[in-house]
Amino acid sequence: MTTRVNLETIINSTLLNVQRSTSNLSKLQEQISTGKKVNRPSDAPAGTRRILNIRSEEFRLDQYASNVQTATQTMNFNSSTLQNTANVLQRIQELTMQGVNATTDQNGRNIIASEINQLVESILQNANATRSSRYIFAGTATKTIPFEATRNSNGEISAVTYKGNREKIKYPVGPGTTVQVNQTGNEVFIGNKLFSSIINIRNSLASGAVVSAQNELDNLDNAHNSVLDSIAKAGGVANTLELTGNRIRDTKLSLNEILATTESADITELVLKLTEQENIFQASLASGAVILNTSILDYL
Amino acid sequence: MASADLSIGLSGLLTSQRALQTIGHNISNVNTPGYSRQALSLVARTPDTSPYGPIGAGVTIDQILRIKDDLLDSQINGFTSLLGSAEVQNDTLQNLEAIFNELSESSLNNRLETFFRSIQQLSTDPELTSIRFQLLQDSLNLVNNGFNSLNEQFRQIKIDVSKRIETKVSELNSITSEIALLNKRIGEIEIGAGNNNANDMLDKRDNLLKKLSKLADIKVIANNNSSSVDVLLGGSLVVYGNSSGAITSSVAGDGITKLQGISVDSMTSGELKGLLNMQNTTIPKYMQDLDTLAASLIKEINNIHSEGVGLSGGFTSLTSTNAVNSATDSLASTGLPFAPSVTTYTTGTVTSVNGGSTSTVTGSGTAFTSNVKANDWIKLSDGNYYKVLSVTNDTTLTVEGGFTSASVATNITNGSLYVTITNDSTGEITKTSISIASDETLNSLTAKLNGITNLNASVSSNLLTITSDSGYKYSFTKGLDTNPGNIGASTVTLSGNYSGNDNDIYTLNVQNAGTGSIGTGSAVIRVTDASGAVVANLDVGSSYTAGDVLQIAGDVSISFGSGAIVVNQKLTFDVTNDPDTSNMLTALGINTFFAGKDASSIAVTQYIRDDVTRIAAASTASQGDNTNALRLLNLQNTASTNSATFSDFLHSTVAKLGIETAEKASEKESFNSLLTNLENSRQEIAGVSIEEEMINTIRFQQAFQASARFISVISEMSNILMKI
Repeated sequence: MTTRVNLETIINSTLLNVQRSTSNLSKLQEQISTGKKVNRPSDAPAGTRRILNIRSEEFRLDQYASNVQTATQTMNFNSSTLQNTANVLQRIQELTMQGVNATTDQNGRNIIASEINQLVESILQNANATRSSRYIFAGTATKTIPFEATRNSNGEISAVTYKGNREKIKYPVGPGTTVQVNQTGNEVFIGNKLFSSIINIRNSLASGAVVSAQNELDNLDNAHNSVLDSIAKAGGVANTLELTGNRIRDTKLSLNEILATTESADITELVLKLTEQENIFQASLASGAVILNTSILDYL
Repeated sequence: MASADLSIGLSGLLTSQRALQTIGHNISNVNTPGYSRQALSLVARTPDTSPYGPIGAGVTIDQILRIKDDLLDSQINGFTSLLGSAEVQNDTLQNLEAIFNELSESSLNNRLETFFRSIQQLSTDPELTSIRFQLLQDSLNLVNNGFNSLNEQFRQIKIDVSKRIETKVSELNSITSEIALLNKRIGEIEIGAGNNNANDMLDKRDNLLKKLSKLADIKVIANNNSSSVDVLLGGSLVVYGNSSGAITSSVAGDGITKLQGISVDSMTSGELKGLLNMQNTTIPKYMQDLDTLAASLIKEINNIHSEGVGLSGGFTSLTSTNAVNSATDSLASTGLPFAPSVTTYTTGTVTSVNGGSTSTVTGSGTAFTSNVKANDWIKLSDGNYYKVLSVTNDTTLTVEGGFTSASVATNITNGSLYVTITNDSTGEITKTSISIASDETLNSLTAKLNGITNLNASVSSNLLTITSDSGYKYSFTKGLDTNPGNIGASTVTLSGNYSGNDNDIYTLNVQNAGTGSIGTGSAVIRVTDASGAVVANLDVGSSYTAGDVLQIAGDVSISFGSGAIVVNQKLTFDVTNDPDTSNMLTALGINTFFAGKDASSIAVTQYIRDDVTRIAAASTASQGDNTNALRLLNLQNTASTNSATFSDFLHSTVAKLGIETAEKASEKESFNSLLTNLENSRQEIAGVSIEEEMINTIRFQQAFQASARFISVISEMSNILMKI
């Protein structure tokens, strides 16, 4: 208990308290105006670390989410291209059945052969499909046309060679996690076997070699199955991607929540605190003014 | 009788006058810092002798007292020192915090994440040059606005701090000389005559001692009943009686201030100690962290980048960007980045061998130690290398050593380098591995590279140039040789991306030939690694159709063409995950992304800035290949910087700075309120109270009036006697 109080003591104490109040006020004011509890690392060193970790994590999650989206689009594009191919293959199967049927005459077979010729062109187009000017079935050789056709003097496709490679393209969808987003032409079209069997059928029907066409039907069936398998695989990958995408979204949501509790200021609480500090500030100013004004000189 | 009475009255009159004078002095100094209130010590005058015994002779002033508590003063001085050091350190740390600005959008953390985000984008679209430009832009941002600018701002703060140190030193010197002067004058007053107190000068000196305490933690030794004080600072007497010893400061390399004449280590607080602490320990610590991060980023990114290829798919001519000092010196100590920088001295000798493996090296001249700092290497005229542990002063270094060569801290290790040569027209790949020793010279390396078919290497201006014969390309990638040859008559085709831990050699061995060819009977081909362990048994029997793709391991796939095979026919091929285990490419700067070795020198190489298609996203010549970009991206999750990932390391540095700043801020706060309390206690004793002084004024006024009245009564009495 101070017994010998003088002006200096009162001034010092009032100054210290007023300074403390203004510093508290300015801190609260900063938190309210930025909406953040933590405005510099020293405000909450442990919280700072968490905030920085979450920010880094969010950066990465955003990119992973965008990769998942691109990958899903790619897989969907692959699927629809392959579905188209499968439909064409089914048509070729039907036509071949019709062609090898004894009721069809050579004239009819010639017509069928020319239709098949049109259809093989459309399959070739599908096999050489591009997305964002990249060949989708070329492995990593995305700038090399994957299926190169050799044509005879009539301009008909006589042979097709696979020029792509067997390499996988993988997109990062998580830390150290990748997902394969391509299907190689080699895998989907079993090398050049799909094309060679269609070409065989066309040629056999045109030349009336019904037995040879009939024999190719098994190979065509294999090729059809391979394309259907690839569609199923693309669908499977798309499903996995959807799950990954959901997981990324969930993680982001929970990170946002943690970030909010660590970094964001609770405005209601802060305003209440501000009012409280303001009262303290006014009280210390008022009491200082009263005490400082009182002097023995008034009574002498 | 009358004269004695008058003299009693006069003593009362004069004493009251003096007392009022002192009160006036007190009131006038009510706001003077460091002023201690004064009071008269009154005593009754020595009595006159009379037949009836001693008779009172009035009042006199014994001495003018200075009312204060010396213990409180020394406590205040101690806390002033502590507050001083906490204040300046908190100020500087707040500056550092503001520079790092890690919670804002333009933080180093954001730039680092943006850089890796662009690498991710590169991995999804390796064919696009627009993404590559984006990556270049983000890298430049990271390097210029991130590392370089942070480093420059830190350096600037360090220079500012040294300037403040110089100012504080001159302030300190002027205070100590003033104290010495006051010692002299107080001595003259107090020692000369009995009870004289040089009160105001003592106050002034005490106030100077308090100011001095703010600068440094001083120890005050009082002599001759406080008429003279000696001041001990950092183990030296800066004030000794009437003389003061000036502290000198000198500016060493890079604007760093050093103190002479006192031992900085034995100082514990005060602004000077706080600033020195910042300059010599704290700021360098954070700069060091930044350097560590930059160095690790350069090394790790370059190690992977140099092992990839850009859109061209291979190189026809590359020249290293880091020159060696001599092509005949070991690459480990010839001036490549991360190799120790060695300063050669013609003077300077080992003067004493301390405990452990440390020694002291002494040279002459002020420039002797100006170019070296801790962790640098020096070479003395004895031919030995020494590692600098600390710079003691201008002419003395504490070192570790000597070593016969500076064979530490280099990036090059014993290892091997795989060179891939591609024939442009056939696409045929030849992989050759050369072994590299850590003491390889540039010339011996050149000879080894020259020994590879279709590859030419030469040294000019201490730079290595590697070219390929026309019609060939070369690279240092991990891509598989997809057509390694035949086993029996069957053509082997490989695909995939080896992801095992080491570089290995796989051997195919026909265990069972079925009925003599691929795809018959129960034919089996066994795959073993270099140690002979079985990696896979491949079923190439009747269920296998030529061309089917089989998985071996580590994401490597294989297919066999049709053809005859015979038991025990073999084929070997290399699988590599790290084609340059020696890290020679990074050290020499061949096909590297970053240049430099620390936060101040980090830059994107001119090689990449000239042509973004050179950014090595691929491991093969295929444009859609993103395997090397994925490897670069993986660095983000690799604990490569002091056992932490890049971002973890940065986060912990920022958190460390936050903790330190918060600590100093709370120290400052608590010392400040402690000091206010102590000051209040001091005021309680030594402070002037207007109320008290006014009451005393009334008291002595009345005493004065009474004495005057007494004199007038005596005078009347004299008059009466005279009229008789």
